[in-house]
Amino acid sequence: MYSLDEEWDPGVAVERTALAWERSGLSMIVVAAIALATAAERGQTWAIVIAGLVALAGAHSWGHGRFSYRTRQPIARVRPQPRALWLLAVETLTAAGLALAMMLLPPG
Amino acid sequence: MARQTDGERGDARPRARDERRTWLTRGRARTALHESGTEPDPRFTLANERTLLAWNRTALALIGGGLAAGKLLEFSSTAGRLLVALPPIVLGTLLALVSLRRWEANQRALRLQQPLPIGGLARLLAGGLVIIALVFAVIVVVDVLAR
Repeated sequence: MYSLDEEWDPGVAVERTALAWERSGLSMIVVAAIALATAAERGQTWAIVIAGLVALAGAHSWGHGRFSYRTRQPIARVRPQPRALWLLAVETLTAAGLALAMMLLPPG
Repeated sequence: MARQTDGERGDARPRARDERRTWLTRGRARTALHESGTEPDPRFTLANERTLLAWNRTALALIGGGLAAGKLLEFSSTAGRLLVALPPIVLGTLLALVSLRRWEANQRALRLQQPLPIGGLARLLAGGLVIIALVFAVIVVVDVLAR
């Protein structure tokens, strides 16, 4: 297919992508934390639950990058992972929906 | 099987039986991603993925920023709070959706060894940020004048 050596990854592309996953996870955790703080202030249990789920999703993305992203996979074997990216988009849209709901619905 | 012209390559290709159309590709019949072209250099695949993740972080920053602004800034009116919180959140939502579509278009172009599509994602972000900044500026001016 291409002349790359199995493992030859001079640009450390796999590691950079794993770090990008970590950053995405952390960003999601931050959003969840803001929502959690607001919801706790207002006593909105439903929002606390959803924010908790978003935090878990962020932790999952972070952990995916930190611990399991394409580990031991030679770069030559890398294939796209559309499902993981779809899932990330769904998690982000959930966070957005939560933020919208918290802004639109009156506190309490 | 119906013969179908692939809009990108301009040559007729029989439609695959399990051709999938998702909402992302609605409006243009396409073959499934893994069926068109060949696997590109993995560094390009990873670069495309990192680009999506960067857009995702931008979207989350906007969502978090809108939420924080709505929560922290004290407004007497609900309208003011919504005016501050909604545009960034909506922009973040749009970015999350459009960037995924862009990822797929990029991956397809990589597989077919064609130039990457330009798309309007960066313009969306730039335009959205300008609108948000203008809204904030108007709010600040109104707030100052009202005192």
